[in-house]
Amino acid sequence: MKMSRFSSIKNNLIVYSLSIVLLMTILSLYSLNIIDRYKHQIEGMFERHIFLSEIETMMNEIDENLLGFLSSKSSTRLNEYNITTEELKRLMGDKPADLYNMEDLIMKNIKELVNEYIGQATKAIEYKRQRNARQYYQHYQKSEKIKAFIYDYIDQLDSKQLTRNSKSYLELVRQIPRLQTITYIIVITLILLSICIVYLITSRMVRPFSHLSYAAEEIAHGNFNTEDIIVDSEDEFLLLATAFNKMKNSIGQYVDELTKQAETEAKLKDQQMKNMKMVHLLDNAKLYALQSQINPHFLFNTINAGVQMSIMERATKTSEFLESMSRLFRYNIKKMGDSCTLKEEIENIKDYYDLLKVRFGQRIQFQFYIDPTTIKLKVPPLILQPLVENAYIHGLSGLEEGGTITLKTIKSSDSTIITVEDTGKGMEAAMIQHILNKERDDTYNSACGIGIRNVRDRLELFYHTTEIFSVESSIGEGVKVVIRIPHDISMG
Amino acid sequence: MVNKKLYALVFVLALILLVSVGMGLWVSSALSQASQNEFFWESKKNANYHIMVILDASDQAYSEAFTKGLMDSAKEYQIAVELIKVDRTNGNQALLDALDMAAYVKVDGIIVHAFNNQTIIDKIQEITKMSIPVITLNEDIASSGRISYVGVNRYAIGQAAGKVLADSIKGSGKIAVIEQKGYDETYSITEDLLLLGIKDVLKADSNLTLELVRYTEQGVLSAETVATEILNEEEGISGIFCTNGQNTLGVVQVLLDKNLIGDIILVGYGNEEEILNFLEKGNIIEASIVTDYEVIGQEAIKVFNDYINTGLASNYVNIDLRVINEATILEYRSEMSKEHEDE
Repeated sequence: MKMSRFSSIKNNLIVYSLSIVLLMTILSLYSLNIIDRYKHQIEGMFERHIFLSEIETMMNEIDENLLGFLSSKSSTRLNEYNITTEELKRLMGDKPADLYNMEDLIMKNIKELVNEYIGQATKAIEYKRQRNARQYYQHYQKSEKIKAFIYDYIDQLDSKQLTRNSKSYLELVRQIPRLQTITYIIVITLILLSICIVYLITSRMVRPFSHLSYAAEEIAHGNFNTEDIIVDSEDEFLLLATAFNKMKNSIGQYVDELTKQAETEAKLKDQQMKNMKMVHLLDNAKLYALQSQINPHFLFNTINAGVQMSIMERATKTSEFLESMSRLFRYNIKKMGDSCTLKEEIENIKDYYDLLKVRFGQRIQFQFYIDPTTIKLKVPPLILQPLVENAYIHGLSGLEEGGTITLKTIKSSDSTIITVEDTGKGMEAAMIQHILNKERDDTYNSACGIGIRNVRDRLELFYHTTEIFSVESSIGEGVKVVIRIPHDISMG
Repeated sequence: MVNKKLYALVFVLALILLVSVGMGLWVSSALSQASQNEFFWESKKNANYHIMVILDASDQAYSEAFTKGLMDSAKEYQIAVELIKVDRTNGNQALLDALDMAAYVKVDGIIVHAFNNQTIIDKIQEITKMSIPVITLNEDIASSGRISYVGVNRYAIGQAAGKVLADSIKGSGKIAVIEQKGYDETYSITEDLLLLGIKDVLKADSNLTLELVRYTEQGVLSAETVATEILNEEEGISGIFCTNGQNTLGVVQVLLDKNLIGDIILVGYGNEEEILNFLEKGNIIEASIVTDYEVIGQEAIKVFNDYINTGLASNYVNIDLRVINEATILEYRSEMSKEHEDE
C-alpha cells in the first residue's frame, strides 16, 4: 500500500531505459527518414524514364503488330495488337494531370499523341477490313507520323530528365558529406547522452547503497552510534534506509539493555561470592576456635562441674571465677553463627575481664565507657573479644607494670564508634599495615593479627563496607582499634 | 555538484541532438527540393491552358524579345507555352506537320508564324474547325479563319522603307529588295503587301522604281551572295531594302567590301546590336525599320486569353513600327536601356 506513494526503483529504471530507447528510436527514425527521402529521390529519378521506355517498347510492339495485320491480315497479329493497345491505354491512364512544368506538358502531349495514334491505327485496321486501301494507307501513314512525334517527345522528356537528374546528382554529391557530418554529430551526441543517462541512473541507485554499506560496516564493528542514513529519493531506498535506521537504533538499545543486565548480574554474583566468603570465614573461625579450645562443650561441662564443686566447698571466689569462665565459653559456643547485640559483646568482655583479673590481679585494668544508646546495636559475634585478647597478649602481657585496656562506645551524629585502646608497648605504623594487609585467607601463617584481621573481615562482610575498621598506634603509645559503624549501614 | 554539471551537460547534448536532427532533415529536404521539377513560374501555380507557338527557325526577329514578351504575358495569364521552331528549308511540310501535331495533342491554342500559302491556309482552316483558336504572326491570313493577327502591317513597312529611300536618293534610280525566302516566289508583287507599300510610295514621291526582288536562304552568307549577285548583275542600283536583320548585315558586308558606302543607300530592318552600331557610325546604314517584338509576344498571348475567356478577340492587332537613323539612334538607345531598367 505504501509503495504506491513512491516512485519505485522499477519505475525509475523504466523511465531511464525508455529514455535511452527513445533516443535510439529517434536515431533510427531519423535514419529511416533520410533513407526514405533518398529512396524517393532515386525512384523519382528513374521512375519516369522507366515509364517512358515501357511506352516506347509497347509502341514498337503495337506498330509491329499493326504492320503485320495490315500486310497479312493475320488474326493473331490483330489479337496481339488489341492486347497491347489495351495495355498501353491502361498504362497511360485516362485522367490528364495538371500542368505545372514543361515535363508535365510533354507528358500530357505524349498521352494525347498515344491516344491519337491508337485512334489512327484503329481506323487503319477498320479500312483494311473494308478493303479501302487508300484510306487505310493514309491512316497508317498518319499513325506513323504520330509515332515519330511520340518518340520525339519521349527523347525530349528523357533529355530534360537527364539534365534534371544530373543536377540532382550534383546536389546529392554536394549534400552527402554535410549529411554525413551531421549524422556523425548525432551519433556521437547520442552516445554521450546515453553515457550520461547511464551514469546518472547508476550513481543515483548506488549512492544510497554505499551509505548503507558504510553504516552496515560500522555496525559490524559494533558502532551503533553512526548517523541515520538520509535518502532524498522517494523509492524503495527510502523504505530500506528507514528500516535500516530503525533496526540499527533498536539493536543499539537492546545492546545497552543487555549491558546493564550483565552489570546487575555481575553485582549479584559478587554479592553471592561475598556471602560465601563470610560463611567460609565463619567456618574458619569455628575451626580456629575448635582447634584452640579443643572441645568447648567438654570444657564448658567440666567448668560447670567445677562451679558445682566450688559451691559445695564454699569457695565463693572460685565459683564466681568458674561461672564467668562458663559464661564465656557458653557465649563462644552459642554465638558463632548469628548476629548479636553490642550489649552481649560487652557482657562477654566483662566475663573475660573477670577471668583476667583472677590471673593478673590489679596489673591489668579494664575501663568501660559505654553509651547506653549504643548497646542495642547489632554486631557480628565475637568481635570485641579478639581485640581485647590481642591488646592483652601483644600490648600488655610483656609489661612488668601492667596497663589499662579501655573499651568505649560513643554514638555520634552519623555513626556508632567502638574503641578498644590499650596502654601497651604499641607498634609501628608499618607493622600495622603489614598485619592488616596480609592475605585475608592466610589465617594460619601468623598468630599475630589473625584475630584482628578476622574481626575486620567479618565486620566488612557484615556491613558490606570497608571503611569501618582502623588501627592507630605508635611505639610506646599503645594501640587503639576503632570500629566506626555508620548509622545508615547499621539500620539497614 | 557533479550531478548538476552532468544535468547541464545532458541538457546541452539534447539541444545539440535536436538541432542536428533538424539540420539533417532540412539538408535532406533541401536535396529533395533541388531535384524537383522546375515550375513554369515562381508562383508554382499550374497552367490553365496550353498554347503551342510555332515559329520560323530562320526568322531571327522572333527570338529573344518576342519570346520574352510571350513568356511574360503567359506568366500573367497562367498559360503554358510550348515553343516549336520549324525549319522550313525543305518547304512548308515541317510547318504543316507542326500544326498537325498541335491538333493531335489537343492544345488550347496555336500561335503560328504564318505564310500566305494555300496549304497553310487550308491547314489552319482544318484546325480552326476543331475549335482550336489560331493566331497568326508575320502575315495576316484573314481567309484562313484565324481568330486574330498580331504584328506589323507589312504594307506600312513597305511604305516606311520606301519613304526613307525616296528621301535619301535624289533623282532617279533603281531599288532592290532582299526578302527572306518563305513566300512563294510565284507571288506577284501585288500580292506582297510589303512590296506594294514600297511601290506605292516610290511612285508617288520619287523617280525611283522597284526594280528587283531577291529571296535569301537562311543565314548571313546567303544575304552576301544575293547582294553580290544584285550588284554584279544589275547596274544602277541606288538603294537596297532588306526585310530582316541578317540580310541587312550581309549587305553591309558586301557594301564595305566593294567600297560602295555612300553610293548605295541601304535601308535595313531590325534592332540587332550590330545594326544599331552601324547606324551610330553613320553613312553605312541609312535607316532601320524597327518593330517591338516583345509587344507582339505579349499581345499574341493577350489576344488568346481574351478569346478563350470571352469568345471575342481583336481581329487585327497592329504593332507600331519605327524608323531609326543616325539622328534618332541615341534617343532610341536611351529608351531601350530605360525599358531594361524598368524590368
